[in-house]
Amino acid sequence: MAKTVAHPPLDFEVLASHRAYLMKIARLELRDEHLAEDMVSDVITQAYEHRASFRGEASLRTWLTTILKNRIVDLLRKQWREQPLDPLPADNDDFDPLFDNSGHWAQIPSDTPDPAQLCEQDAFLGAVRMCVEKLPKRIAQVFVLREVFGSDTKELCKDLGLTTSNVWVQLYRARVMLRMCLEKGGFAPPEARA
Amino acid sequence: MIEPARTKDDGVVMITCRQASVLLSKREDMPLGRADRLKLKLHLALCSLCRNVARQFAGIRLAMRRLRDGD
Repeated sequence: MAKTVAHPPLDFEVLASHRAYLMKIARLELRDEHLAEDMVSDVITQAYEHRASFRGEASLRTWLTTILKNRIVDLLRKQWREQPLDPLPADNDDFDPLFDNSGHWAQIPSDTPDPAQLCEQDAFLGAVRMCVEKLPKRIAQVFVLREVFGSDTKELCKDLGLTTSNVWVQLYRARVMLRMCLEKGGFAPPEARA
Repeated sequence: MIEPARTKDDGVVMITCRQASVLLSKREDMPLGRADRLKLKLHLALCSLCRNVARQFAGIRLAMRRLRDGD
């Protein structure tokens, strides 16, 4: 247990001021408003009870995000145990229609501006959010842990009990499904929108 | 759209768009090995379609950060 606390003790209001952020990322991961609310409230309460163990090495937001992530991982592990992942097809065969027999694009990727330019457009961010919401649940859960919570491959394997290649396939599927969804106008340069 | 080329020892030096697409995703999750990095670099130098996909994957990553950190 923490013996030295070099920073002033955290009061509840300070912790609760991160609620909106925690809700935002919990919603992306859980797709369930009530579940997200319950979980975020638990996280803030738990953080308050264990406030002495916050060393101030990471930012408060990072610390809270880690607590939330651990909660989410526990829940996913339980859910996934009850309903295991479908066995993976060998070598991403599910994306066959995207490529012809010689491995060339059968559906031509559209011209795409630089990432920074894309993300300046609210319409693009909105389209990404919508497309993430449309991803199959499991795939979205792995993808959001990776991209929003910042878990790396190793953590995802350990936390979710998946093999490395399984994690890569899930993330590859997520990205390909997202780009297919965004091909319906999401990648269009701003002047093409009007 | 480029044909896979082969070296004398029949090792594939030019990967297909399909293989490039897998590597483009993988490199978002871990550093690629030297061989994969070179194959991808060569492919991207020659294939504008896959360069678009590279920008798309990078745009998706950046957008997720903006959705997380923006208001």
